[in-house]
Amino acid sequence: MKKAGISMRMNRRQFLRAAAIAGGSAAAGMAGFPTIVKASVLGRGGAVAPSNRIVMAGIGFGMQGPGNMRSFLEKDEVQWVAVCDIDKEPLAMAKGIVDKKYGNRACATYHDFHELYARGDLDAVSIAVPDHWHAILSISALRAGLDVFGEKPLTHSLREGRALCGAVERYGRVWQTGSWQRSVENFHQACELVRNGRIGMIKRIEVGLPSGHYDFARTFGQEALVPPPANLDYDFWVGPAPWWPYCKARVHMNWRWNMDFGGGQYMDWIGHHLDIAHWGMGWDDTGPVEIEAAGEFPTSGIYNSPTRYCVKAKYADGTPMVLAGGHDEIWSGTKWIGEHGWIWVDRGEFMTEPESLKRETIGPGEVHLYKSRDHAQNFLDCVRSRRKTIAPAETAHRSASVGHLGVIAMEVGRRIKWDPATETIIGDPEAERLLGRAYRKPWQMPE
Amino acid sequence: MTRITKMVMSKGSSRVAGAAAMLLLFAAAFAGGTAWAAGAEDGTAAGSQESLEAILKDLAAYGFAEGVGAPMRLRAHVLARQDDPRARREIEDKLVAFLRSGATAGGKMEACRSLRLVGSAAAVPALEAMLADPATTDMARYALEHIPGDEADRALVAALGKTSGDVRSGIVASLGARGTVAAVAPLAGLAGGKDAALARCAARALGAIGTSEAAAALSAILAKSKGALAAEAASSLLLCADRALGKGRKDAAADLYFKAFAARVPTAVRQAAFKGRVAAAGEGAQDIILKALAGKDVSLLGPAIAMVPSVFEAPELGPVIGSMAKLPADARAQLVAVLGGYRDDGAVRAAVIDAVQSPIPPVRMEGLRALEKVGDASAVGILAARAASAGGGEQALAREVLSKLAAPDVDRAVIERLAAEKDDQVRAELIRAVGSRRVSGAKPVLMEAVKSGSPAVRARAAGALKDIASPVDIPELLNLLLEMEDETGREEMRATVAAVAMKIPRPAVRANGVKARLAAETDARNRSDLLSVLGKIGEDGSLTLLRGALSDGDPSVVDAAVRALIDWPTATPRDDLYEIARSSFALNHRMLALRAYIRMIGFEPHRAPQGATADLLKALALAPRPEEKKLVLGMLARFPCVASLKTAESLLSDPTVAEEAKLAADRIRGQISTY
Repeated sequence: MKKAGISMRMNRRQFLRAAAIAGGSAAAGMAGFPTIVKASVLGRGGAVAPSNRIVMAGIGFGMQGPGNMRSFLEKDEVQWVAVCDIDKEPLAMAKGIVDKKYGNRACATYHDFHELYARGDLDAVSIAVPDHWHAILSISALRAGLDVFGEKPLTHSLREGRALCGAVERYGRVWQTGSWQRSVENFHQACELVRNGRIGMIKRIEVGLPSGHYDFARTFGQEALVPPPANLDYDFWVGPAPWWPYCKARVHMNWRWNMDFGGGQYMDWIGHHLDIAHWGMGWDDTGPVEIEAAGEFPTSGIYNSPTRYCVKAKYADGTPMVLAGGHDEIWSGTKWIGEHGWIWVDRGEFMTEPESLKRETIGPGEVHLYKSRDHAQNFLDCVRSRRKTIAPAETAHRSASVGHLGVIAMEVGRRIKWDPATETIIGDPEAERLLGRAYRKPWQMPE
Repeated sequence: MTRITKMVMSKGSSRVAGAAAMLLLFAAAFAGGTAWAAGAEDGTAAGSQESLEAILKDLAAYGFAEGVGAPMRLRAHVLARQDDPRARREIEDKLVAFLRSGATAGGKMEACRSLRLVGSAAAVPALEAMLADPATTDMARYALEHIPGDEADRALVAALGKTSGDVRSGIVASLGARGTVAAVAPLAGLAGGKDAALARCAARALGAIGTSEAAAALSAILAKSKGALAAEAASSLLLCADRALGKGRKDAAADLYFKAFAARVPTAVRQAAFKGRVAAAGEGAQDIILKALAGKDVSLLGPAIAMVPSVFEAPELGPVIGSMAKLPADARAQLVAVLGGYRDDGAVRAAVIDAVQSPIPPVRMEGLRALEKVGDASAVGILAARAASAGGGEQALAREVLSKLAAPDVDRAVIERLAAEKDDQVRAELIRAVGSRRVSGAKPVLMEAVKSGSPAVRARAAGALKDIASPVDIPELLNLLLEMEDETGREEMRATVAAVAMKIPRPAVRANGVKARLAAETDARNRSDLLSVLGKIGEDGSLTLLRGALSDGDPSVVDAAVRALIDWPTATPRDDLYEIARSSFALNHRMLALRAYIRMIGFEPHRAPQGATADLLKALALAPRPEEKKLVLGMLARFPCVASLKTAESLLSDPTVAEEAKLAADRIRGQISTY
């Protein structure tokens, strides 16, 4: 029995082989955790030996993907082995980045994520694709035994989000959402002050988000229906979403302004400032009980996401929250207004009333929130330890839920009541219909 | 329930990249109201008022290229009649007729979007007729999948027999999404059929339905399949098992988990099945975990350890902890992390302390994290030693844990250890902990350390006093400051005096103690230090003193006054700094003041952007170097308006800052553009 145990000196390849044999399927894929062996044991003078690195790949390199990948590439403990995209141009660009980093041409390229997941040597995957693809790609990865670094919003619909969280739990995988503000000091500090009652009972929360549509891809106005370019597998790109014919302004980066693919500024940012609001309140595993919303929508052009909006939510303890884009009275970022003052935080900004609150620290015995100062590193640490990350799936789902419910409230035009425990809309079967949507053939949501 | 009362078509909206009118859809009148909502109540949306026939006429020819106009009008029309059942029925009737017309695919898709919301059994026949056609099946399912009732189920089941390939796969997916119990038998047939893709799709749908009948069908498929279908069947079986477990049917769940576990399926599925077996095992769960921890199957170590907290109480952990030494390093780190979830148990604490001293870095790190939760006063010495000897992240973590340990007597242990400790580095860490833990009883010890410790200990003690000294200590702290010889210690003590002064609730009197001391001080070095402290406190009444010091005869005092203004925590001395940047004879003062002036503009993030831009333009005029121009550009981007955009664009032609100018312009454009 003693001999059967796995030696501390077993390297990653041996570990993989053992796992594959034990799993009964050589092609099944490794779903354990990376083996850790002291670098000195391997004679690498402090560097992480290739056999003990976390093996990663990425999917989607049109916008967030390259940045996310670079944040992992700079870690010695990561070995990036493959990239996947249904557009040959960003795919080639991503491969170039990886090959340059390692000084070789070894980075494999994939068009179809199924083939990537079937490699069998991956530990984790970084996914940065349009929202309508989040659920399928992520749940498929989890089922393949991969840990996932995924982008926000967690999914395109509430039903997808619950399924994704279920898969994370069922398959015991590590999930990190790209809600990186949690790994930044001022957001962490603000939330700890709120959580420890420094401004007393919270009377109101304001979350300011961007408004309008931003031309990320410089394709505004290019709305003529033309054949898709040869480098892009457009049918695959549309995937499970309702069909829209190709036009340049519809795809890369600006897809987010079409509600079939994204959710506008509102859903783009819900996983940041609303996520922080939840963190400060200790609402990472719950949601509002009522929500109502108003939005302004375009009446021409190809985009249909709200350009100016205001969403009002109420939580079980009666605390109201306002989320708004394009309303100057709501400051960008997150603001908690309490009995004894307020705390406001945004990227690079942190203000309190009274001002002295900023200098307060949290003592022993008080609530200390999960601390990370490097979002990518936190994911890698958790891949090894199997701890929950600072932005796990359930947390991201609860943030995104507020977004989804706001969109539904706009769609049905009335206040909806929500049971965050059962995740059902109360007494409004019509609104309930909007919690999910049918996938275009042949796509099917995995669970 | 409140409801939509008004809709508005605004005509004045504009965007940078082309004009587009905005349809305003205002939902409920929010409690308390807002100005913008009130303003919206005076208008009427075109889509809500015009006839449905007019909208459908446009939609009949809709070919996607026309933009979202007609679809949004239909949406508004439906929305405006949400509380009128008769009108909604009329809408449904007309949309059904529209589906049967020769309208374009694009138009019909929009009709299906609305039927998704308002469709009833009455819409099913028209949608059913579209199911078998590859060109219309997706849009039909888009509505049908969400229409409640047996009619929609029946239509989808019937369509299974009339379709093939992807069309049939789509229908199978919809049946799964609806949880159509009546579809179990036909789906089971498809899952056992020759079309491999369809079989997997049907197996997945059976899992989504999740009933006992679906589980039985999946069990049968799993028993006779292999490869991808077996994997799909096993994954789906897990869903059925989860559902059974959720309903308290543990035996049934355990049976299903075991079937998935015993099959030749991917490791990830077996791991999930293993977790399910443990969850459903009741009293046998501990044995399953212990066998896995002692077994040969390394793929089960992770899930076994993950399930420990749900199965073992702290007193029962002995065998689990006993297995640690035989585990591979990664599993050991995971187990240590799990132990951190247990409190107040000696065996756990001992195992975690052992991990903190492990030769394997990740095990040590997890040990430190766990120690934060399970550690007590006995951990103080170990943590201080690790903080003193480790570097990087491990040192930071050890310090953090030492500052957070919440068990009783930790503060006393820190003081006692500090008194007995000889190693300067460990002493410095303990002093740091005194500060971060706010151990007020240690104040005399720290005061003494400032006077007589080694340089490193002196500076650390000076820093720790920042946290535990109170305003009544300011005179003594000033004495310590002015008596210190080494600059590092003085710098730390200047910050400490300022921080303690900031604890005075009334801002207007915060600087009084320092000002009084300054008035009596003649030594240039001491006066410079006191001016520096005034700058850090930032009490506006001190500005007169600083302005006076700008014309002092001693250059070191002038320098201290300039730097005090630069350090000022608010934007009050912005004009003073502008003047220094504009007219000082000293180049370094001009540059430092200019940079501080730019930075202070950012202290007021909610200023009108036009005003901030005007101030930044003044700074730009004084900025000969690219470094300061880049600061201006960075700040411009925080105040988006047309003026800041033009200012950023004006620097696009400057090759030394063109890249930053483009970034700033892009960011500003992004924030001021609306579509």
